[in-house]
Amino acid sequence: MKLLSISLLIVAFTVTTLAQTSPRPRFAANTEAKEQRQAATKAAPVAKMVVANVKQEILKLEHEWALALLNEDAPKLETLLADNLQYTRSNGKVENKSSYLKSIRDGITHYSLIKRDEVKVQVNGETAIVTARWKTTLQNKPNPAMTTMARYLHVYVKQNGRWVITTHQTTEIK
Amino acid sequence: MKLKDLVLTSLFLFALTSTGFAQGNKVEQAVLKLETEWVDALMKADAAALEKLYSETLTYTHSSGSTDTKTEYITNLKAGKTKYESLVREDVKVRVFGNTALHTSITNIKLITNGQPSAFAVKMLHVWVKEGSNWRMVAHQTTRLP
Repeated sequence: MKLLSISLLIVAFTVTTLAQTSPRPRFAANTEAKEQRQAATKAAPVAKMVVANVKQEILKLEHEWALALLNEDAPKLETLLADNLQYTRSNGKVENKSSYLKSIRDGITHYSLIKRDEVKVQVNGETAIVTARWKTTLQNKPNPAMTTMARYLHVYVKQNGRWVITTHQTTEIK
Repeated sequence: MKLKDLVLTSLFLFALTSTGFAQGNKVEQAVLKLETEWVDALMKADAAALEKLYSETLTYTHSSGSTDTKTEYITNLKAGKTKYESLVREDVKVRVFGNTALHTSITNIKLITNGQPSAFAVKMLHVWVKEGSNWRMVAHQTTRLP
């Protein structure tokens, strides 16, 4: 009997731990759908306000990101970018967080102008997608500085209560 | 008795853990299936199939840097300016974040635009979001590889 109780305890503990740590998309999606249903019937204005607040927060982070690039502020970028970052440059080269940050720290990637417009934010529960047009003057050493127009896409995910960029992709406008 | 309990507990724990992993894997399988459907639809210029795969909020960024909304994309498709001859994927990765899945690949494209054939490779990013019970593409973006 005692052994059975211990077994049950172990199982209960595992269930709790799994629920906290393992990613379970279907459960998350179900919760989301349920929330949406509740929002539709009960508290639509509240749900809209939450989305609006997240949008504001993301727009603020986008501004901080552009500023950090201009200032070559690697510590700030470190907090804005997810550890599992995939950063696709306009030449198709894909960087991870450490190789990307290294290029900033070493002054290889140097921005002297960043102008953004047509910024769109779409919030989907625990993720947000940003698309925007940006004009940049960028020097990727040893290449000379170039001013180009491009479109970028950011995927934000909420990790440990913070929104971070997990994917960046740039496409030059020709 | 002791051994029986231990075996039962282990089996139960194993089943529980497998279920946890299977959820993520299930989404990955669903997205890979949708990607195959997407390639088929593109090859056949099947507007009805693409209507179902694309979210109303779609942002479709071509490798030229121009963007289409869902309506613009479907209108252009029906006009038949671009005909896809082949789409071959490599280096496919799927990352799942709750109700969002990211599909990345290198895609080798052969197409004919206004009678002109061309072949090139792109880094392709697809963002899928679960809307109700269906996964739909909310973003497509390609970057040309040199």
